[in-house]
Amino acid sequence: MSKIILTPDEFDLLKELVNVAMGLSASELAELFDNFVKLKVPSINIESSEDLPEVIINSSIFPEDEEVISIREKFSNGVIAEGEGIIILNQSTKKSIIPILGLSEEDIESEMIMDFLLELSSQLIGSCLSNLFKQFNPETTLFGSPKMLSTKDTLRQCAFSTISEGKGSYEDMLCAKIEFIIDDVNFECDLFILFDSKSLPNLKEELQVILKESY
Amino acid sequence: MAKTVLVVDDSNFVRRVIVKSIKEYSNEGELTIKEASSGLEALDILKESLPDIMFLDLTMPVMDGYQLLDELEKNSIKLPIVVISGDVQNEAKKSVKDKGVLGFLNKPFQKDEWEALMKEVKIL
Repeated sequence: MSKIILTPDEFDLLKELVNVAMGLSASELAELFDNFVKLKVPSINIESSEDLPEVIINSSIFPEDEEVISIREKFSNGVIAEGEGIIILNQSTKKSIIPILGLSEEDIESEMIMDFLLELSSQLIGSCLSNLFKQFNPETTLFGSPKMLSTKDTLRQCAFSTISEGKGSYEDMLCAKIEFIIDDVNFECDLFILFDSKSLPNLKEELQVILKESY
Repeated sequence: MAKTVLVVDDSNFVRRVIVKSIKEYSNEGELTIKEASSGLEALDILKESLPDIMFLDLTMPVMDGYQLLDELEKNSIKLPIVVISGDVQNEAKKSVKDKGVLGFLNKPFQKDEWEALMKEVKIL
């Protein structure tokens, strides 16, 4: 059970702040692909770390037996929160970046594509979190280097093995789930933002400040 | 006769901020403000009676803002609409303007941006 509970108003506000951050990131992605990015309402929940694999499997855009690529990047905004962003994408999404790099389908396994995926994931995680935290305070958010977690595991394997390796630092966590979809180029990806349990009191406090100002 | 306003957004917080901004800005005296948390709820309200202006979010569950605009077009329902959205893609702005939306405000909006848009729209 979570020790820190967010009220419905706090959840509602946090979802809205994530929604705004997601919109700004989508705009950058849309420019890169020169295409419209379809957005859905983000989901926000407090989860036990033990449930993380099932949360990922159940809320991912991909079926559990699909081969996925997953990338993790840690972040820290000293004032509010620490945690990590996890990007999950599939082989079609990987193929969708071939034209951007001016490569052919034969180059699908090239290092250049994997490097680009790391860079793209880092940009999405960085942009989304920076835009989220900017709405709370002007402190800079620091990011670690993006790390490729898996390249050919199924989503289920990925959720239970690789991703859950990092769960040691999370007792309970706040999990925000965002989807970016570009229909015309078959680009689909999940972004999971995990805030560690120590971040929850700070986050709650910051949300209360904004809520008070709105009355 | 009191003007009527419909505020459509899935977030209670955003609806509260918009309603507060309307009340602070408007010189209309008495206003009737209705709220909906999805496009579907808004559509039900619009089928009953049309407000003088609707403030519409785009990213919502059940029926999003784009779908609501399509439904309005399909049912030949016309009314002044201002979109207030976090979806700041140029394509999003273009597509809603093509559907006759009067104005677009990026979330989170500042007081001066709100006032500039309201002056342009000239309804409240």
